[in-house]
Amino acid sequence: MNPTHRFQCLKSYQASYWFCVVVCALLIGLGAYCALTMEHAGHIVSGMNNHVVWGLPHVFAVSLIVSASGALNGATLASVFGNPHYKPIARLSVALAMCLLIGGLLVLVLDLGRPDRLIVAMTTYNFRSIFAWNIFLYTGFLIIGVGYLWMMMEKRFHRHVLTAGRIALFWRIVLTSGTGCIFGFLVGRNALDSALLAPMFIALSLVMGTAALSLVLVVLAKWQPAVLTTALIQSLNRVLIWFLLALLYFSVVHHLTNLYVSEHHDIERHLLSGEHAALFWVGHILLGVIAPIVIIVSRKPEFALITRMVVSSACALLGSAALLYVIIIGSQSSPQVLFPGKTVVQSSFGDGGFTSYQPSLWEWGLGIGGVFLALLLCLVVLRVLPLLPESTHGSGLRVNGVQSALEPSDSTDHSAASVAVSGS
Amino acid sequence: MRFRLPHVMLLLIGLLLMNTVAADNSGPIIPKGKGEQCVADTDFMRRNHMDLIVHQRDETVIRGIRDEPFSLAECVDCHVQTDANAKPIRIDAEGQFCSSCHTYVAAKIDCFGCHAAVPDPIDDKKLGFAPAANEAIEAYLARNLAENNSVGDRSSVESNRLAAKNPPDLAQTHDALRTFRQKHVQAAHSARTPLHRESVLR
Amino acid sequence: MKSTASNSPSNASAAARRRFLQGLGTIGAALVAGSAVLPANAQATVKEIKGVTGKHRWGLLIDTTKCATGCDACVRGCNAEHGINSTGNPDTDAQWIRKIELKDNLTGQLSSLPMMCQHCESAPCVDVCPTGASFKRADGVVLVNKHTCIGCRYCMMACPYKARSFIHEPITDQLTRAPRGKGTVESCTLCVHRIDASGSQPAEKSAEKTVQQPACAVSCKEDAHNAITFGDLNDPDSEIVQAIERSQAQQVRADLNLNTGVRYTRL
Ligand code: HEC
Ligand code: HEC
Ligand code: HEC
Repeated sequence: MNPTHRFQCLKSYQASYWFCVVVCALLIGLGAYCALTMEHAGHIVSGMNNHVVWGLPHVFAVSLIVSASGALNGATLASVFGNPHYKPIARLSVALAMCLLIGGLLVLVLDLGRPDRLIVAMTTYNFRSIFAWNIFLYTGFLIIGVGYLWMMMEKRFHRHVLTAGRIALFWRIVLTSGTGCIFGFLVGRNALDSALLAPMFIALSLVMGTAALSLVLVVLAKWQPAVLTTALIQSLNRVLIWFLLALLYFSVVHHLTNLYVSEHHDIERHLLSGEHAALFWVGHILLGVIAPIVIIVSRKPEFALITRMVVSSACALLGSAALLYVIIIGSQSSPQVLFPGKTVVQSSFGDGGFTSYQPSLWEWGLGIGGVFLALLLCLVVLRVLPLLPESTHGSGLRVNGVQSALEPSDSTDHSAASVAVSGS
Repeated sequence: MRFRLPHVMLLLIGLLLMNTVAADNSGPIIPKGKGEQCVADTDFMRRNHMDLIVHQRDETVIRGIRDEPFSLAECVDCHVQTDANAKPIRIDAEGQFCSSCHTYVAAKIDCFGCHAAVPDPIDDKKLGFAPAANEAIEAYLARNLAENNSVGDRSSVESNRLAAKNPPDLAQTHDALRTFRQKHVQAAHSARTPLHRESVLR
Repeated sequence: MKSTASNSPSNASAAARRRFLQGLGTIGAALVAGSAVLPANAQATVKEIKGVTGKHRWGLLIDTTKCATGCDACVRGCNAEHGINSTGNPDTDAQWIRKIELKDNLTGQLSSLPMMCQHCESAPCVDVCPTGASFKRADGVVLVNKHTCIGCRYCMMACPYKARSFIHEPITDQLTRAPRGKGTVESCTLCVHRIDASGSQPAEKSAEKTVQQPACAVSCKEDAHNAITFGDLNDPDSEIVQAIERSQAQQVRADLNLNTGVRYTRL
């Protein structure tokens, strides 16, 4: 696509690289141990029960899956929207997305009651199930990811990069909507039954993916400085703000509409002022949205640009995970209203009451193991495939300057893209 | 996924070896089932039992057909062994019927994680047996089984074959009693006699 | 030949066959003579139809005016039937059926009822199950096929009634009639093993007379409450349909339009 961009494998043999690999491996081992324990003893060792049937592992899995589709954003910005700053990291962005997805799926699978029956899940489908569609969406994402990477890596296929990018963009929007729909069409769960969850998940994925990509870039820049240019940092920070605002918007609208529907009042009160209130207000709103925005826009010179990116990304990532926790756990721990106009006086199953859920260490282990599996995969893939921009001296501004001059063909592509999209 | 044919061949060769060289311990020792014969030709069963029961299970679970012969519960009923105290041994326990060959061919089945691996205990009280008659039956069985020990502890296929050819009176009596009691269980279950209430409210 | 036809099960296909045969009769004597062979064949095919069909739709009617506060006979009956033992933690134990005591917010009136799988016609659990393990039998009973259940628990998320239980711990000493095991989801089966046990009865006989009642209904009856009626919702003459019409019985969360197979009087 661009002759000035040469790619290479991760070449670092610094101790810090091996340190990262070892840490990842250890945490994966821990996760595997936790998964085995949970499979052997049953979910009784988790904090889950028949009210909160999806616990912390689902929060981790959904976070990873959603981040995966968001991490693809770097490549989309480069090849579909022709943003030159992202071209050097386009390949990395696709690879990271695939690794995160694999990590998330693994957590999801290991949290099944019968992970040994995975073969059943892959061979028998109920096509009315959104869950089953998602299995296709996920495998499709991986296949498209491979194709996309291939197009970018083979010179003779460069002209197909735009098409591949568009397909990937389309697919990841569908995928994230699909993930949102898993939760969005549950008529029985008042807190979830809302079509707004699909767009909200898209915003969430953009935030989490961008944040994850930023953090990975910072780590990689230690070994291969060319991955991170000043312009890229600025751009990443800027898009993160927009994504955060979009997320805030959907989150607010979601809760406002819930407040409007009177039968959801109790649950709203629970979500906004009950057990999960701290997570929602401090975690999602304060840490997850306000803090990153403030950190990014503050012009205090004592914070380096890169520090601001690291802190804001970490905050956004944790805050969004907190939001997912509130959505997933909060909706299950609040009661399902079976008898409007009546109060449950007594029930052997605690109908009408709120359930508390305490994730166990096994669940934490499983989830963290999944995250680090994704990271280790990424570290390994980067070693064997030339996905990183070649290290040259004085990376940043030079790339910028040269790039815009060299991009005319791609910007025409870009306008062609928008024509095609608006035409379809 | 499955490499059935080679396994079966191996198994059959093993069985053959065992039959010809009785002292050879190279094959699985398969406890003998009750009654005269299996629900289908023995050889056919050896080869095809997995497909038969899996087919049966879908018929039962999805279509509610329960009077077909290849029910897992029936397999357990006929193929379960009893120990010296006339207590049934789990059919998937080591060396027992459903694990004898499977260990040999390194096949694993999870069926008995859910399915009862022994026939339901026959709670005679709720069947309305006279306690005295009941005790007599138990005592008789325990005494004879302990003496003969022929049902539970089989050391070789050879003795299986012998047992099949010359079934001792005891085995017949045992089977007859068992069938008799089982009929009563079924009768009690289907009639839902008031006696059942005790078990429900127990 | 005529008598053969009238002896056959009075279901739709038999009626069609009768019409068909009558048509044949009008065509001509030669054909009638030939058709002497036909009914025997046709009879055989009708009898061959095995397994459950959509002819019946099994359901329950709960009379909340008869259901006694504090009584849990149905729960004990169910547990004994399916070998469900408590481990002492109601949040992780299987509860195929549970008792709920209610108080009306306006009148303060107390009522009591059992809650279990409502055997919905358009069941959310069936829709969401990725492997199709959660399914509705032809006779309307919603079941989990535990052979294909992967334990994803999406059906539990989807069930508006919280009627399903996930098995959190290994189980031992199961009963032959109720295989249960760790890592799969289960719920009220409407005692299908009892329904099926009486399934080979001649179809002419009224359904309720021949079909065994579920354990909960039996226990309720034995405790002299008679609050649970089991029967065929497809049969307009059945006791349950009559009672539903008489009492204007309702569905729980009727707003969801699930057309439940379990109805409640005086909800
Ligand atoms: C009526 C009692 C009965 C029932 C029910 C029954 N079996 Fe058998 N089965 C037997 C007997 C008796 C034999 C031994 C026959 C022989 O030695 O020729 C046997 C033999 C077998 C064998 C071959 C064992 C060998 O020695 O190689 C297999 C495999 C088997 N049965 C499987 C099953 C399965 C699976 C089921 C359930 C679908 C089942 N059986 C149900 C009585 C029964
Ligand atoms: C997770 C629990 C579970 C496991 C594991 C399981 N089953 Fe079942 N099985 C059931 C349930 C529940 C039924 C339905 C019983 C009923 O409707 O009465 C059933 C019914 C059956 C039936 C029909 C009833 C009968 O006794 O004939 C067969 C056959 C059967 N299973 C075979 C198998 C086989 C073979 C395996 C192992 C490969 C297996 N099952 C593993 C739960 C399980
Ligand atoms: C005569 C030896 C023999 C006996 C006895 C026997 N099996 Fe098997 N079984 C086999 C062989 C051989 C296989 C094929 C293994 C393979 O495909 O890897 C098998 C496979 C199976 C499978 C399929 C396993 C899979 O993963 O595909 C099931 C289910 C099964 N057996 C059930 C039973 C049950 C239940 C019993 C006891 C009633 C039993 N078997 C007794 C020899 C036996």
